[in-house]
Amino acid sequence: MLFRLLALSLALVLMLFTGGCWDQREVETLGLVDGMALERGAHGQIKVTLQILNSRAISHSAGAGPVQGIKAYQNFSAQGQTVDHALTMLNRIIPRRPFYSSLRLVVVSEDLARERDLRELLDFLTRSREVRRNAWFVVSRSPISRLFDENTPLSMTPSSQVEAIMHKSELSGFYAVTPLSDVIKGVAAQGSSPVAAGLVVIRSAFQAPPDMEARHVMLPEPFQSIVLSGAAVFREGHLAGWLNEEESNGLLWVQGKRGGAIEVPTGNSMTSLNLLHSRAAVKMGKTGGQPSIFVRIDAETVVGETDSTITLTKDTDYTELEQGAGRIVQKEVGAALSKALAGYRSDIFGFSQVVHRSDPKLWKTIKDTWSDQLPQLPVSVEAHVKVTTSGLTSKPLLDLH
Amino acid sequence: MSGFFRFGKTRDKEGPVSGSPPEERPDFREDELARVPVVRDLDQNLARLREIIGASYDAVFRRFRVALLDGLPCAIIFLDNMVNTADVQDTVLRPLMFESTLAGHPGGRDPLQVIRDYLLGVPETMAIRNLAELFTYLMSGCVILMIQGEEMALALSLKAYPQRPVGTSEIEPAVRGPREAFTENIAVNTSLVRKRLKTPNLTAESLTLGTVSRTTVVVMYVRGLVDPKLVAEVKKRLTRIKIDAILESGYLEELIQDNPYSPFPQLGNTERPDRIAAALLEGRVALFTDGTPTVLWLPVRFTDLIQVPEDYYQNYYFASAIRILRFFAFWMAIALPSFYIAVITYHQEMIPTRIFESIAASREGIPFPTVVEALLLEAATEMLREAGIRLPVLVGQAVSIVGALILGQVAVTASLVSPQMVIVVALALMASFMLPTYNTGLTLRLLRFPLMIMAALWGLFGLMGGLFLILMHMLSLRSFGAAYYGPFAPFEPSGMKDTFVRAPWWAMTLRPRQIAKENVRRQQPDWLARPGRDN
Repeated sequence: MLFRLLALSLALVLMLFTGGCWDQREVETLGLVDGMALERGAHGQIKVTLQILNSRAISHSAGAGPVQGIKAYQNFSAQGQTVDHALTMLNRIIPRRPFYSSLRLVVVSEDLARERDLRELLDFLTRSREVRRNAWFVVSRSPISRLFDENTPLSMTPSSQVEAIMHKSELSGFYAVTPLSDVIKGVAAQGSSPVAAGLVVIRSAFQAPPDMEARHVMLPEPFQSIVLSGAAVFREGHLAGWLNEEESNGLLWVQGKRGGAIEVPTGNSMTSLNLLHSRAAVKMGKTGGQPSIFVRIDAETVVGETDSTITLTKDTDYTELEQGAGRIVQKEVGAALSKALAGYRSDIFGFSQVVHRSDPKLWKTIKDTWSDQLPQLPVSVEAHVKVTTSGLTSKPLLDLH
Repeated sequence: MSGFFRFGKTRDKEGPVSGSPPEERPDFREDELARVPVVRDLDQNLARLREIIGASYDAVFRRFRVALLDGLPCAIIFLDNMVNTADVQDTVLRPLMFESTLAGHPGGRDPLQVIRDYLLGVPETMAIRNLAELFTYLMSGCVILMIQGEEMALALSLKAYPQRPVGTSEIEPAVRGPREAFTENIAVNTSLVRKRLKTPNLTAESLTLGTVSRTTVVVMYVRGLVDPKLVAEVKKRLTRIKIDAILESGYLEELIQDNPYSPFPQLGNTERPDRIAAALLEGRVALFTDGTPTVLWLPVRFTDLIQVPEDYYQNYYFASAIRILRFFAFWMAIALPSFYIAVITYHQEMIPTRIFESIAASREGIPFPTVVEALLLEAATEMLREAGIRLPVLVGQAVSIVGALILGQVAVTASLVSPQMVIVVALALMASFMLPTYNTGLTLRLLRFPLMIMAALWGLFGLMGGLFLILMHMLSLRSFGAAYYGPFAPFEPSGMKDTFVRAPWWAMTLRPRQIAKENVRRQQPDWLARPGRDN
């Protein structure tokens, strides 16, 4: 009896070991995916490029810096009928198992975004348990091959360069700031559509004089830059068109994500107001049984730079500036609204959710025709910009001494 | 065995040291000796003693006569170097042999009574009726006085062991607090506690344990603070011990602890008298063992193992912060390497990208799997630690240089281990050193290894399973009636003042309820002087 009991418990214990280690992965067998790009391949296929970190190049063993002369990443491309198929094909050439938790950037090329449905392209990323949805999603107007091999000395990889720019979006504006999670939510939601930042690689203003190389001088860098600009507007999963930088700012106002500065015309030049924070409240009203949208934007700013003619000592000095800024905001938002709603018939602002939340019954009756009605949707915008301080001085430079 | 004795100090040079054993009997059992009484014939008594003592070179037999009692033959027997011979001379030999003549005879009384009441200058005398008693006293350093014609001998307490003076605590040093530590002498040790608690209620009961070693064990407690049932239980467990020798308190600890198979310490041990005094004040019992500076105290709880006396002497904010840190150190010492292994080999998604990149970079070129790397490094650090303890102090420095600096540095540069793993293992080691009781650190370091294997096999599931097993075990432990995981489970709200935090002394008005039982009130609450109050 005792023997049987012992044998049974031993068998139970040993059974535990049969399942052991089944999903064990040593770190060095993993290829850390930094960026992932989807573009149009041959014969209607999808071409997937993975930017994989080269941990050999970034290792700091014994205090010796990164290994010189080796790139910190390597790009691998393969084509397939689906994203997953392409990734399977990639395994023929990648020596390591791709590990997606380090993914920071998902790029879709403009042509593929116009052609294929985003819902189809993102399916793999939505299902994978490794992918973090705080990776950024952008649409590239330049060829992926140019983007993923861009020289970025300040960042480890081109992908992390884009990520770093995205992270400090509150300093600029001009482009949509969209993590993967927002895109996935956007394509899944009924009525509304996602946006994505536009990305383009341009020639830098720095040009090396022809004799420089001959004189063995360190060449000015970089020759090209990755620029984030504008917003890609989707409609029913496909890229519908672009918002320019002004319109993108309008979009960011409504999303409450606008950063950077407001340029207000004053005197014979411009005054720049730096944004501290802004907030947008979107509400639904009803006019004749049809929904109407009311957007109120509150922003707090500080004076960053004046045209050197205005003196900011009295409250009235500020009032004028604030009204001028408010008009700029309205102009930017108006431009975005008309381009997206009327131009692309795409609800990138998420008005449909507001209607859905405020009046679910009404939403049921109008949801089928929502996108067709978008051009006629009445939207009123109210902007309140507050200038809190003029910085260290209240007088222009000319009057100081 | 001849009955011939010369007067004066004799050493049996013809004994077994030089050859033939005096007696075929190999040993004498105690119950046997108890049946042999002290007889009237001095010569017969001495002959028996010589027979039993055998060849020992250090037994001194000295015959003399008491002048006052008309030259009554007497003898003293003692073990050389265990008694103070100057005292023997001053308080026994001189009064009996010479000074007695100066006193004048008190009148016809029993010689034993005359000797004890008028002549002996020894403070402590014990009457002996059989040889078992006689040898107990003799072997513990008493002088035995035997008188012709008496059925009783006297044991004179003139002990003078070779001993170390009271030194500073080396194992449990403190910045603030008393420096003195226990020694190997039990009398010194008990007096170190007595001088801290000057109450007649401080009781020190003595027991003799070990059939060969006859080690004195003292059970100390404060009546009125201790639960009488606890004392009874301790004494019951002690008297059950049937072992040949108690050489160190570790023997006792293993013989009386509640769960003999647990790796966790179930009795506290310390060499600090102030810790014992504090334990007694909380209604605990202390166990002194002769021959070791390590004194046991009980019952003990998990929280006691991560507390030090200095917590109660230093500022309470600081003490609380350190305690919280120690609590983290406790779990870090157990689980940090296994957590690292689990996360690195199974749950890479959990690691923030930047950290993971640097870990991946450092793992590059390491030939071993993470778990092997960890086990190797753990084994190396344990070797270093053990070598550092056992080696002479002079060589110890070389160990730390070769081991820590050279080995550690070169292992990393040679890409045998990753720097991150060195950090993890070193942190876990530091954490185990941070625990104030050395044996707790040992327990944790040992438990680390099975946890590492479990983490390597099943990732975080394995680690959690292992930790749950440990927690379950700790929750099931009891130390002399007190729950090991108290005051958390069972929960005792007032006990929380002395766990993660150390409440200021004016706020700790109660003793631990689960230990002191009835006698919980330590001080009256709310007596503190405040502005606007007249006290």
